[in-house]
Amino acid sequence: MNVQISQLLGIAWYEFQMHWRRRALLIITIAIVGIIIAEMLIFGGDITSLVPAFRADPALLTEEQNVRFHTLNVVFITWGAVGAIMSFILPIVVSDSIPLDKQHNVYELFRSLPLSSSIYLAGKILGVWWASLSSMALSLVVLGIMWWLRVGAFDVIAYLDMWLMGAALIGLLNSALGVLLASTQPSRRRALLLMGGLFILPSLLVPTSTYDISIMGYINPIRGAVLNFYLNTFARALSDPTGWTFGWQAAEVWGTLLVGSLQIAVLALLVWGYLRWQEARA
Amino acid sequence: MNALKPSLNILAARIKGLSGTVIRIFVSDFSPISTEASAVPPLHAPTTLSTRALIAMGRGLGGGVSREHSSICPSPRSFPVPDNAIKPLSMPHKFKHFCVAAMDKRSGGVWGEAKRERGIQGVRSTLTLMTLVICFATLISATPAHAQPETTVPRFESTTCWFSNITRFTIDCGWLYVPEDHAQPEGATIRLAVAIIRSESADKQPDPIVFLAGGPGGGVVGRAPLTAVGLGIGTMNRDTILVDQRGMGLSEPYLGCPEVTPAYTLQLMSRTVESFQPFIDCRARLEAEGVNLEFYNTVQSAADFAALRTALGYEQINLNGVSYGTRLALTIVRDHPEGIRSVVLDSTLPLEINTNEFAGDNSFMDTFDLIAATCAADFVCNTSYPNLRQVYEDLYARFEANPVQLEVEGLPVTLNGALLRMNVFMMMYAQEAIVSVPAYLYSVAAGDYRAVEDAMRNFAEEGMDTTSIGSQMTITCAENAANTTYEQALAADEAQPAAFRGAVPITGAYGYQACEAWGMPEPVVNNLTVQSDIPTLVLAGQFDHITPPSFGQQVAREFPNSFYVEFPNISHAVTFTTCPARVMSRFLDDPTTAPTVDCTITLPNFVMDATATRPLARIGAGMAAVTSIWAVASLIMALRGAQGARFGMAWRASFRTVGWIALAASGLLIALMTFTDARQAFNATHVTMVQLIIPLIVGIQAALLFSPDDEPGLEVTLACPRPIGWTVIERLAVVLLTQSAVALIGTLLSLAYAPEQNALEAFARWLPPMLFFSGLGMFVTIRTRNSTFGAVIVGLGWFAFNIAGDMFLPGQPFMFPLNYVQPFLWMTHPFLAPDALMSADFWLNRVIVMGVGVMFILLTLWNLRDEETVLLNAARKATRKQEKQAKSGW
Repeated sequence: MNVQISQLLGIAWYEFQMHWRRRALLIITIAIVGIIIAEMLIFGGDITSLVPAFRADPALLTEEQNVRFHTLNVVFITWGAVGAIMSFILPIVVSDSIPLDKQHNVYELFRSLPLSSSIYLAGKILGVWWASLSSMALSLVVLGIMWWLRVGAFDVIAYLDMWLMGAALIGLLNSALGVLLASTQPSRRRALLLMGGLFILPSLLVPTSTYDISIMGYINPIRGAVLNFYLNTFARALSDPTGWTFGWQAAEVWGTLLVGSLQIAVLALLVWGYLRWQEARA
Repeated sequence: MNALKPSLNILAARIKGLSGTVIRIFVSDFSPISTEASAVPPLHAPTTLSTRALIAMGRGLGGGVSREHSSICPSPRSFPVPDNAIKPLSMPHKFKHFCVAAMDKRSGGVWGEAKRERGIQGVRSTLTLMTLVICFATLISATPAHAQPETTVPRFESTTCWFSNITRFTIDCGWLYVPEDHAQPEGATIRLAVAIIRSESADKQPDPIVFLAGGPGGGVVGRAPLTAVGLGIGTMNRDTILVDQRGMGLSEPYLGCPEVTPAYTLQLMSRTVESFQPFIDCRARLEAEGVNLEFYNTVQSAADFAALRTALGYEQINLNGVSYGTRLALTIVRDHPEGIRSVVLDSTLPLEINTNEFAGDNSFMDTFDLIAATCAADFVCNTSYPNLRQVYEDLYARFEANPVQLEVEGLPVTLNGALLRMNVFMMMYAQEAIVSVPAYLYSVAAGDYRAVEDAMRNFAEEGMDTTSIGSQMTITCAENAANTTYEQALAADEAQPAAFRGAVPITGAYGYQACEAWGMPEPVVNNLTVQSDIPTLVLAGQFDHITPPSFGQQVAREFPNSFYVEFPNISHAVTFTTCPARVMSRFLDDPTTAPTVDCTITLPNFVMDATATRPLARIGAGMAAVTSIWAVASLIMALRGAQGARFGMAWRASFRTVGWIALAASGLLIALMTFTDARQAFNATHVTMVQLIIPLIVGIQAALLFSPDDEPGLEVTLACPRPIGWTVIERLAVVLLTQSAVALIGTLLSLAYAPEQNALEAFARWLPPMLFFSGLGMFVTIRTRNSTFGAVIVGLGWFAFNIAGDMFLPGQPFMFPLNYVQPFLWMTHPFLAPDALMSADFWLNRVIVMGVGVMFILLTLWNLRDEETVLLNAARKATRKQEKQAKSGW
């Protein structure tokens, strides 16, 4: 195997392990599953139970309509918590990847090795993605089973679409941003504080409206375009006879992917330059 | 977060203020249009005026579309136009509005600013007339040449719907033209609004269901989309036809009474009106407009529905009457039985019942006693709200003797016995409100009148605009009051305890007086017993206090081919609930066979308000206060001890550790929220901005204050001859002091921008949650030895309380078994608004939240008492695990 690829995978594997061993991702997973199970208990698996006018009698619906109705509930209730956690919490949780290396002096160790800054950075991001995806996969499976037991059959494709095109997209983009933005910080404490500010401030500075997706809905790390797309799917699908719009059919999702990738690329370039500059200075 | 909140708000529409909602619909009704739909906000933003609305305004029908649309529908001035709407007013925009204004003026200024200037026949009238002629000519010119108007009646003409169809169902609309007096088919013509909800079923049957709405006085056509969705009508295997009965809803003429103003309505509710003059004025106006009121009754309306069947070309139809609609159905069966395939009577009002002698049936009192008994059988309800009947009667007597003056939306409301009685009566219409009755009575008894104010709020805003008062008066007076005497009505009233007699203003002796003022019409004899062999399903609700099950049983006896089904745990208008709707659907599929009843209705848990759990809150607050005082005292003692032990405070190091970033962030955010619109992103206001920012940032800071695994030089710190807890206290003190300073400035700004708030409450909004989240963050960090955990828990907690904080307020519908926990949650809601509960409860909550925060801080310090465990790990078990891991090499 190519040495660089071997290094890349080594860093990624290290990062993956560390995120799970620090139990931060365990907390994220438990939070996602816990919140949604709490919602299941509160709403009884049917968000429309709070809006009696939309309450449908399963006996009066066809099997197909029932499946559609369950899918609406599953996607909406799950997305509310998952979307928010992926937007706000995950990037903060994974932001200590590089600062902790500095805090524990592992960073010095890495720099003493024949390991380039680009490989180190890419490995870190890959490791965070790997760990985040594994957390999401675990949540996806556990919640999928829970939902199936709670409400019965629902559209698995729509459910997977929500996780892959929605949660994974936001999670991967924002976790990478989290790692990169915090990479200049010397300790976990500083990184968490900085990221807390960076992921809360944008929502204030660049408000995103639920009904009006402007360019800011793509640029803002809150990823309002995708968040709103899946939230509005519920209301839209309730009244739209043509049914469901999948994430891969939505411009909001592809637009977010494009803009987010650009953001990561630009930021990665800047951070790489900074690390090189630090190396040169040292 | 802001992105989530609106959608969550829509879907988490709560039953908050339910009693008010219910009353809004039922004030003078024998049945609801749809109790459930009223909680739903409009889904689509309104766009512009519909042509129908314009025409309605032009015809001077006083109330136009607004009468049809209560809280669920857009305001009349912005009534949405369907995308495919025909626009006959193809005139320039400005001109169109000019026409509308002119027509509005002619109509008596109900819609516009124009004043009623009846009798002035000067230049302005001439100009108005000319304008109308021009408008009319423009309309005529916009009509296709081939559209030759047909004049025969009855006939049905399709038209564009008056509402925006937001559902997936196809809804067709049209006008049914019928004679005003069916005895004179060549006479004056009126038209009724009709909506047909098309079935999507592959097994669609040719005979539709014709829905006969209750009231009398309410419209249903304007609600067709929500009715279709809410009742699942579109999924049934029959078309459903909604008709606005003559004089009601969108039908023309409309017999609304804008003379009955909101202020007057509020007086009417408490029966403190000096006269019925607005009713008299309304009748005079309607008659002056050429409406012949004697033809607006159930007999004529029944003929309308017979005409509907022939005009639409149906061989057979099914009738589905609800409440007053059952009386109409019975009249149709009696007078026009041809073509009726089956009948569903939901909450039956037999023709023999005279609503002015109505109180004699005990149904109000019996249902109240049933609620009291159900509450007594429930441990939690009985413990919290015992002796319900006694409490109610005492309360009634108290308010009757000493009425309380309230103010709602700037209008005076007299809370007397009559108003209390009416509120309780109205709450009994809806299942969700029934379970609120005990809490309502106890909270009112405790001096909390917010529920009363909520119930009156809709009246204060809109009066009785959604009810066709003219129709209601003509029907009820001619068919009830005119067939009895005042003495008989009074005797029926007096046969009941005062707290249970004639709750609704149009019933009993009071209703008789109103009819006398209105002008007692010639009696319409419509009280003959109906007998029929048409297959009939009679449905009743156990808790129905206005058309009790005995009414349904009475009618069922006269129908040999009838099936009677009584549903437990439900009140009036049962088919708006899924189980009875399912039974109805089965019956319609095979009306000759008794439908299977394989579902049940469960009464929701009784609502526990803060009054019920207040004793526990007092205990909790007491404990929290003692703990806090003890903690502060201990701290002071320890400080003095520390001075004696000659170790001081490391403030400078603490400042360095805490850093300035968070402080700057707080200041920046508060400045942004104060001076820009950025606060809207968080649904914050000047009042709530400080409580939103400070607890979050302080919580995260506290979580990051001290984590053994992240602490540089931990061994050195531990080796110092001072407790490690001091390090945490110093840092926490720095955080709390600096952030409190920022919060103080923020609060002063908040008070400057929103001076209406109470200063003490403004401070209490952020101080307890700040302590709560800081304690929580510190505790989680210390227990897990990982500051990320603390920060995440604080973030999630803050997020959850902000997004779903209202779920912590009493009365929210949690599923079993969380419903037993829900009544207590308000005590620990960190962001409780001062006006969400009574003032005393708010302060109890503040003390408890603060106490919980202090307790978390104390627990944190307790976990730091042993330096060795701080250095190695907090728990021996964890140490063993680490050793095991070290051995396994993972």
